[in-house]
Amino acid sequence: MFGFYLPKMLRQMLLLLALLLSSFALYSGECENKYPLEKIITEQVIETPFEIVIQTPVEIAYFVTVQVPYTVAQTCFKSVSQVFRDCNIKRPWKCFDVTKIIQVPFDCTYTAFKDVEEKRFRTEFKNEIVTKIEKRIQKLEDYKRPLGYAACLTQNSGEALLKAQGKEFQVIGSFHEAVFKLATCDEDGAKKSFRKANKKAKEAVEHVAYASETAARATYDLTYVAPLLTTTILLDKGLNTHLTSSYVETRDDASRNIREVSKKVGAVLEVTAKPENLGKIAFIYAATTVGGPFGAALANIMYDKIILKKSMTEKAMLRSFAIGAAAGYAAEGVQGALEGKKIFEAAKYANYLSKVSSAVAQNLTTDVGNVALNGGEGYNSKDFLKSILSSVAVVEVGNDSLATIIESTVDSTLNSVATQGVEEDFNFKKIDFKQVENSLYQGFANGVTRESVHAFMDATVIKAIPEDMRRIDKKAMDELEDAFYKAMLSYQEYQREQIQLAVLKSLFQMNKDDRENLFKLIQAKDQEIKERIAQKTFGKNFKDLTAKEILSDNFKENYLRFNTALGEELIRNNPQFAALLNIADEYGRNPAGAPDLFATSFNLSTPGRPTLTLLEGGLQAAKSSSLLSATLETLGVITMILYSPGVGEGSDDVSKYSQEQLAPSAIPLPDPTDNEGWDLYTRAIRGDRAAAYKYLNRDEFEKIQKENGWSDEEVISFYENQLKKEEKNIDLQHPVLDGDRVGNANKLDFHHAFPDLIDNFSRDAQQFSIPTKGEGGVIVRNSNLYQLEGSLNGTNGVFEWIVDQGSITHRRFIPGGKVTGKPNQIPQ
Amino acid sequence: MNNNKLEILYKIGVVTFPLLKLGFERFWCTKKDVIDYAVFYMAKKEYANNDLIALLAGADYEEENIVQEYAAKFIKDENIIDNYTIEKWKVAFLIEVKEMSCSERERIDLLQLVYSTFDYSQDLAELSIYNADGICPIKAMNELIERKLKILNVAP
Repeated sequence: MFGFYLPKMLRQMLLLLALLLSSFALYSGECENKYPLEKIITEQVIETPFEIVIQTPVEIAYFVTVQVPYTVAQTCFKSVSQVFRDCNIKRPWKCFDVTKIIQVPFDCTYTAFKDVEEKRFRTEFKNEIVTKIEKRIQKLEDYKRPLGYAACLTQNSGEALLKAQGKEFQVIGSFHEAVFKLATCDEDGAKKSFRKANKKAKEAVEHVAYASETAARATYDLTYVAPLLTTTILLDKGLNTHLTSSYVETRDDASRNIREVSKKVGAVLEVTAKPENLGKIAFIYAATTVGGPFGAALANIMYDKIILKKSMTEKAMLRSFAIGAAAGYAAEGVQGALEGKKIFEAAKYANYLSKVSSAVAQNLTTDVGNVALNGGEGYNSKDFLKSILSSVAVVEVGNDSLATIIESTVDSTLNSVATQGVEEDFNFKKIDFKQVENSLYQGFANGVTRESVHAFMDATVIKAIPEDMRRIDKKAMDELEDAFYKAMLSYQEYQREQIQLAVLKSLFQMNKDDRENLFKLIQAKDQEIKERIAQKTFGKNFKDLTAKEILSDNFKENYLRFNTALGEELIRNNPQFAALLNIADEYGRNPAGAPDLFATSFNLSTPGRPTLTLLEGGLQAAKSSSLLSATLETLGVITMILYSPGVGEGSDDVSKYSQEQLAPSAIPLPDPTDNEGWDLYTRAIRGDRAAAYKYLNRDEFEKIQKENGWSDEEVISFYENQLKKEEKNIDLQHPVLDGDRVGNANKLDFHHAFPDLIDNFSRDAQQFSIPTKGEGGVIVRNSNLYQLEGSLNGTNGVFEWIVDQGSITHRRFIPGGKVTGKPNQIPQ
Repeated sequence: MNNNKLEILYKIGVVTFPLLKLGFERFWCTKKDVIDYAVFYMAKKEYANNDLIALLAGADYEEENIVQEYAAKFIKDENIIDNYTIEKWKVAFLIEVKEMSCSERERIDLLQLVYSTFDYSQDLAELSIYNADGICPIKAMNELIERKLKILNVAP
């Protein structure tokens, strides 16, 4: 199909002309000759197909296509509205065959053309194609939307909300009025104000409705990835179901339902009028904050089974699970985007509108989850406005909320100061105020976001639940809470074990027995850490902690902090691990790109160096931030085993093997579970390496101090200078590292564009001088070829670089290649 | 047509569906090139009722992988065999470099890219400036074109 663009007016005129001429021809009896439309279009109207595009608000194109022997008129639509600042959502065209529509008014029906069909005009055949195209579009929508697309939508829904709020700030006056009346129990007055605000905020509502549609779409998209295999397996295990096997079948049903929902974005308040749904929303929100999408999914399914005591088929359970997960993902996405960026800023500048936005966003998320939960009925923008107004009220009413926000802020800030203030001569001047400031704002942002929803629940949802039902529910809710936390804990343990096994498998080349033994060691050490963290956090033994306590933020934060410190030390000893943290950063910036980065960074091993192919577990990790953090934790525990004193002693072959394999350059470090060790690690994390020397080389430190009569600070300053010199000395220098890449060296395929990190090893490569031809085949100079055997992506081969007149002209990995002294060998 | 290489291939009369499929997979030609060729095919009487060709010809708004699928299925269904696709593309690349108006130095640089584009295949090794055989890369290019056209039964 050919197409060309013409000026808009001209295009429209051409279209009209085409249609008119068609009409005229058909009217004038050409139809009876059974050879009309094609003739008109091919011979009189146009010689080639053309395309008319009207650009707003919906892009419409008319295609009159002549591809002998078929003649077809198509009208295609595509919405042009979904173009975001950071991502452009390409929407498919939807095309409809309008040939028949042109024929029908002039009584040139399909039947009339039937005889012609065998000759040249085959409308019905094109219909078939159109049907196929539509089916394909359907299929694409169903199955081929990538996760990144959904994430983009989710994030943008949050941004759209902010935009709505930012643009329509003038309606806030009416909001204020409504809120005030609501707060003073003047419900009628509040209703009037709401109506007033509704009128004024029409545009804002449109923004929000658009954002909600976007979020709902994200919900829909993410539903496909929500029921991860591990979770269905767990449910199968825990509830004796067969969810995994019915997943595929049910996914299609759920996707259809939710797509329908996402189109309508609907009926939020109508649905929430049902008390059981109100309770459900509240619980799902709470579950999301503890267990993320999985928690929401699990809560949803458990709520149905335990509270509502529904007799559910497995199919219904899975649907409930998927829907809960979708709601959770949406909640996480919107909340994450806001907490990470907008709310942070909002808190920083105490911008009222942005604070409102956070509440609105969370409210919306709840709505979207609810819409998904209940099959979605008609939705109108008024309902959403009400929802927004309630959110605004949340920010404004209730001293309790404010108190909690402050508490969250203070907690966060104090934590920050506490991690800094462990030094004996700690004083006010030494506080890292940047860190404190960040913690303060982050805590504030968290407080606002969470409390706004809690308050919303208290002020609207919970209030709407009938008194007697609340009483009945109390016991069931307690049971549910207990069951939920236990299930979450069990899931986390299961997930952690799987990750640990995967990481171990990819980290160490050892037989199964050895690996199992090492796994047991890790488990034991992990348990030891948990004991310490339990004492540190709650002053209790680990076994005495409730599931809720283990899942609490405090426990998690301490555990993570501990393992992060261990991971940092590992990074210092092994540059490949630095890449892991880069990946964590990269994941934050670009979730879709992280797996690739991970793969290329870790698919590397070179002879004579520690082998680190962290593939299976690593890739899994990169695909999910929670898995990534769990992988980091595992690495931290492994570090502990390898580097901590008291571990690996005696005749433990596995540990010995690991130490020989991975820790040749390890330096003795204090136990990070001691106060002193903890201090060292926190300092190391903050980059205070010189200060860390005090702990690493205490004897030497004291000796220098004594000899020179220096203070602690002076010795540290001395070390800082030493470190600077060392760093300068270890700067890598090599022609391969110094030269610019030109020509083939810039090719982006996998074998040319292997990770830059490998260039560091060019210093170990063998160097060959190779003659270089110029014009006429005459040798005009010599270039340097560097060859290094190694492996890429698990395949052995040779890395090659050619440095020609200072530039890198060739950079290639040859699978199966050896060091030969000649470039571009063809391995046998 | 904006694709020099494909123009060359049309000119020497060696375009086939397998050739386009390979080119499309390796980004040497575009979806539009495949669709244009399908439109051309539709005019052939024997393919007038072929669903796949019709789908390919109307695939402007399909994803690229769908077009690839259609093309692959068409080649399979119609049992279209072309054992010289890669050779044909090599010829197209070489003729393009040969006909380009540039300095000899630049032409030699371009030949290095051609050599790497075809995964440093043995038959193109003479193009490499690092191949210590004393053969002028430009001369090697001319000889290669001649040899390959002969294989393809095309008069130089």
